[in-house]
Amino acid sequence: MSTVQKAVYPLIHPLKNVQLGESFTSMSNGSGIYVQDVNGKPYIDGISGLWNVSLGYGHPGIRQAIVDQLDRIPFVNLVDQTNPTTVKFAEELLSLTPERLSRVIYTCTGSESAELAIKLMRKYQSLRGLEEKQNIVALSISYHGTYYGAMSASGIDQEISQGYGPKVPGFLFHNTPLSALGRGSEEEELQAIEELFNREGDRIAGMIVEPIIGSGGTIPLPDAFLRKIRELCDRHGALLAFDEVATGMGRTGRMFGFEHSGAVPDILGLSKGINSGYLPLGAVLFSENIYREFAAAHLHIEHLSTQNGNPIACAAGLATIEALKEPGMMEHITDMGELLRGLLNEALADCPAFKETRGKGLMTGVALRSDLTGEDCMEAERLSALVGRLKQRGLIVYPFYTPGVTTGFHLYPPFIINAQEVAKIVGIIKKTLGGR
Amino acid sequence: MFGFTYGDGVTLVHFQAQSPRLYTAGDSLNCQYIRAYFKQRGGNAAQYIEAHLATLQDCAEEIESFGSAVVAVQVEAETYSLCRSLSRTLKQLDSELRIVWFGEWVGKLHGSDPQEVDADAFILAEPEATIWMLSESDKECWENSGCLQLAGSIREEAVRISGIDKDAVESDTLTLDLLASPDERKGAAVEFKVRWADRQGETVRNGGIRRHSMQRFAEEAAKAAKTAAGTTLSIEGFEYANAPEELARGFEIIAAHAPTVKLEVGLRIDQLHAMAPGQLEAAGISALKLTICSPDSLKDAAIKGLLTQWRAGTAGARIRLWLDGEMAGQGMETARHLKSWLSAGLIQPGDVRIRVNGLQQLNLESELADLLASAGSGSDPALLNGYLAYKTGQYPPQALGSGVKHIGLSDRHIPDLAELEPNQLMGINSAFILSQNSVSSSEKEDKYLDAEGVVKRDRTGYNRLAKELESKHQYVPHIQAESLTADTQTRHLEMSAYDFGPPIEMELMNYREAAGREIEDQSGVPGLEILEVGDADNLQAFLEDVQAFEQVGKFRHGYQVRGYVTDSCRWSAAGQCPIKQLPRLSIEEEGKIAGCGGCAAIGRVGDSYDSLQREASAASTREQLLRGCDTCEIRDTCSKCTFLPEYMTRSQYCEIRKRHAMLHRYMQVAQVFKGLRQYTVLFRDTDIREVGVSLRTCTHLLPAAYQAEGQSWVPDHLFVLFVGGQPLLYQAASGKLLKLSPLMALVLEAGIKGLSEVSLKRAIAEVFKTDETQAETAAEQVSRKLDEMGIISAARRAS
Repeated sequence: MSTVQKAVYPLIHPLKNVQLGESFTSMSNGSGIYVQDVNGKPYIDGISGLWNVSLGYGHPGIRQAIVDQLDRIPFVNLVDQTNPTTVKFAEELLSLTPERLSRVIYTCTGSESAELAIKLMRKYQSLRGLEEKQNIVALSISYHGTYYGAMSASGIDQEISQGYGPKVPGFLFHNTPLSALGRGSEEEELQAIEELFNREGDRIAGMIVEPIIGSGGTIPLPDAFLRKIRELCDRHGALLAFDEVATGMGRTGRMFGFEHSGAVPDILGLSKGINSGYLPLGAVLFSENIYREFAAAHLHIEHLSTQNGNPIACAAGLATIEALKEPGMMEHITDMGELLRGLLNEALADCPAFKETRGKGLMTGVALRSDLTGEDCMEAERLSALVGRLKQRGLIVYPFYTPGVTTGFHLYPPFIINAQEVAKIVGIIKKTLGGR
Repeated sequence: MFGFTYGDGVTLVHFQAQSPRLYTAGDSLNCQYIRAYFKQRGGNAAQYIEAHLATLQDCAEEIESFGSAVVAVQVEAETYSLCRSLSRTLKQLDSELRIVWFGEWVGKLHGSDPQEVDADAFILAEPEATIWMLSESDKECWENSGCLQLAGSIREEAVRISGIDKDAVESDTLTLDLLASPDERKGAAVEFKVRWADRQGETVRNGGIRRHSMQRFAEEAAKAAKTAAGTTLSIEGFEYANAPEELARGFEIIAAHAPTVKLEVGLRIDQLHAMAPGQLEAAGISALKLTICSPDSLKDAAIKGLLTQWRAGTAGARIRLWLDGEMAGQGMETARHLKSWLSAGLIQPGDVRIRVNGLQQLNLESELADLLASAGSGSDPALLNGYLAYKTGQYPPQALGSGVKHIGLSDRHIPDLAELEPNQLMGINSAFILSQNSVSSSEKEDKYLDAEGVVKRDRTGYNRLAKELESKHQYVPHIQAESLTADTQTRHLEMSAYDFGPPIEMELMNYREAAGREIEDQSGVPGLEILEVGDADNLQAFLEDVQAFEQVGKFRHGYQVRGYVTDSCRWSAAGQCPIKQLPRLSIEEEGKIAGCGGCAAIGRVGDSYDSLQREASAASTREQLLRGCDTCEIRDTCSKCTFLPEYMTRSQYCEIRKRHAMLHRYMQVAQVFKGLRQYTVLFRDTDIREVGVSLRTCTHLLPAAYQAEGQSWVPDHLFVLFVGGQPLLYQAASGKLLKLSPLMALVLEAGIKGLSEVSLKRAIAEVFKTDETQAETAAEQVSRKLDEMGIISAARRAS
């Protein structure tokens, strides 16, 4: 007879020690930028769920769109059928992007979008008869997800994912440009990536990057670098994929992060804020060139998850786009982001642990240094304690810990935040980080 | 309704005293009623829940972060002092915050102005409707009423007027708002309660008694009984039933649940008069809380007869008595009657409590005081464990990280405390450890009851410290005092002003002295043995014991297990140095503060917790860099003590730790043996010097010729022990003690030494006189068995 007993707390939480069990705060309500636990304690959700609930909780337009679609039809089999809402949302997504991007495939998650981007890059080269172009360039502290392909492409997780191998082969990890952190120069960065393409270009299928490194520590990549990789991909017949799961759908104050640099990708991976995180949904937008290769070969694209393109999720997406397109929304995101970083810089100027703020729009990283040794990175246990204290005082943030590069926490609040709420966030951080 | 509106509604706070002045913040029936009332009206009532309370400042800041304009604090006799300090701290944080006190006990604060405790109002009645009304209106609109006493006013007597709709309180459709929070489940012992009636009504006619309908009571009882299955379900409010038939109907309802829960019922003693013989048994009641207002009722033979009969027919029956505060005035007579209850076996020591009305202090006759004191145990276990953690520096992980737990100081340092702010520095459940160089005189001290309703002693020895802090509006947690005994040879440890019976006797001696005394019987000296390693000679004596242990796998002396080595965190396993969490501080000369007694200062009195912690962490980081801990061969077993005493340099420390590679194991085994002696008959009856422990340096079945080969594959939480030749396995993670076969013991010893498969087979063949094939089969069987039993996975062994 088995001696294994059913667990008292059955749920295993993602990316957390399996033994933590029921030590997680149980949330039961959400309203605007706030969430509330089952005891009624409210918190400012400083990270919009997990960077996805971009329009906050209880958005009336999204809620109504979901209800209406639910009443019409909750699922359509996209293998054999279609649906007006699903098609309409694809059209709306394309209407937001430059002409280069002309087709849409739905996914359920950001990881899946990265997965599909990798598949498209390789199959595209294969269809062109360039079987040797299989390698994909990714950055050393990039994060693209935890599915096998996405995990294999995530430079930052190479160590932590050990033991799950064999991983998907064929990734070339290039040092992340850190000139935004004052390390190295843009010129050196441009030269380094050019050298890589010159050396490996014949075997490179494409390059996948986040325009602003997210999990690695909210590190904006230099515009010149993004334009350079666009140029190098074109020169070497490689595809450029932007993973805009975090940066897309208004987070940076533009609809997509790439708009800041002007470098347009061949493949654009989306999820998170695509429908303000109300239901699982992702999308990959790609270029006509890629479409043509598949069409010429009379092939389908080998990718399916049953719920991809679920009409209710797409209805939420349509309502999200409608809200994002409201006049002044992108300016508001930009203004609130600048206000947040400006107030933080001012409030924390005298704090020994404060290093800097970074980011664009409402995608802010608060970099912290060791207040014990003065080194660039804060000790993991102190960072963890700090994040815990912020939460105790009613502010939820998400830590980043990239040893040797940067440590701190992310602040990606919902776009509906107002100046008073920004000031409140700053007040909590100042009180906590400033100490007594 | 969807979502909620930030800042609306009320935040409810209810502290529970788990034992004297050791609190959690949890739920209560009163709070459940209020939340339900708010919920029904679409309002928001949040509950502050915290099992591990941090500093008062942290606690107040978290409550403030809830954003509610009104904070309603349920106050009881046991929590008065804490709630007063919390209100003050909250007001300091935000003077606009509206703080109200509620609960039945608040109604007893005759003659008190809410302003005196930094509250804006006392809720005298109908807390649900009154708090709702307050949360919905501006403070300027608040008015004194029968339900509400505002700050700035004093109420001479309870004046109640009607005017508030109380239908919803008694509505059958209102369901108690039960929390589903993991935090709540993690809190201290959850109490399951159902209420039949309370005295929080606003009408004078029936004494403020509010009673739910029988239907609602039945539904709540059924629901609570289901949740409480196998534990105790307390029924509140039967003491407010005046008619016997009412009570009978209530009993009928609860009787249905007697098979699944232990029913505890509160009654007035005079209600027993009207009871038929066998009525308590028929209702399935197994515990009674009797309210007594007069000594006369204690001598009633008929009542005693009824209770004797009930006890005889009820397994595990228990009676607890709650005396009205007025009875303190008739202390002699009350004590005499209580003794007769004790001698008749109706009650046990510790089963008598007294309910103090309001804030008065009651002086007690010594006989009554002794009866009321908590069974003369000499301490509260949690307080004693805390004290020992302070002395040894070994704190359980769950106790770390929310403010300082203990501050040690000598009585001559009290004047240096002017700048100390315990509210910001110390956890709510913390203690001062006051070392007095005077003779304890506790025997002569008067006993009294204060608002907290527990017996205290007027201990002048540390009243000075309490008064010093209270004068600065600082919350005073426990003060534990070490003082000399009359012969000045030993010390007394008094755990607080609470009367826990006689103080604990304590031998505070040098390690060398303990080694020289050779008290080798199991019991040792009476009380606690605290062994100090305060200089190189005593360190040498300690290390001699360690070395012998490493060589023979046994303790040489009883004190090695009985005693508590001061600052033994220094010699413990990796991660055991708690300095970065700063659980203890020591006030030194000239107002300096050290993280470990007798070591370098990390700041001064008046420095904040954050600044002290930063300094301690910085020192720890510096030390480890200087010593090269990151690359040291014993980094996984050494506690890396940051603050070394003057008699030891860092290179000496590192050299000792490397020389005695089993030091951490020595400390672990001593700790395990303490527990085993306390909880198992086998170890209590065994001479601890005869118990063998398998170590990498010493095995008991595996011949010594087999030297350690590779890394141990036996995890640190497993201990292979030998008692009278019988091998045992103690699993520290689960607390299980298993008998082992000699073969299993040998395989585990081989595992501790990291022997290869080849060496293991050879050892089995040698010890059990088998051939190699049999040895191989035996090894495989043991491996499988260990895997099946969940002790060591085969995969771990293979790796």
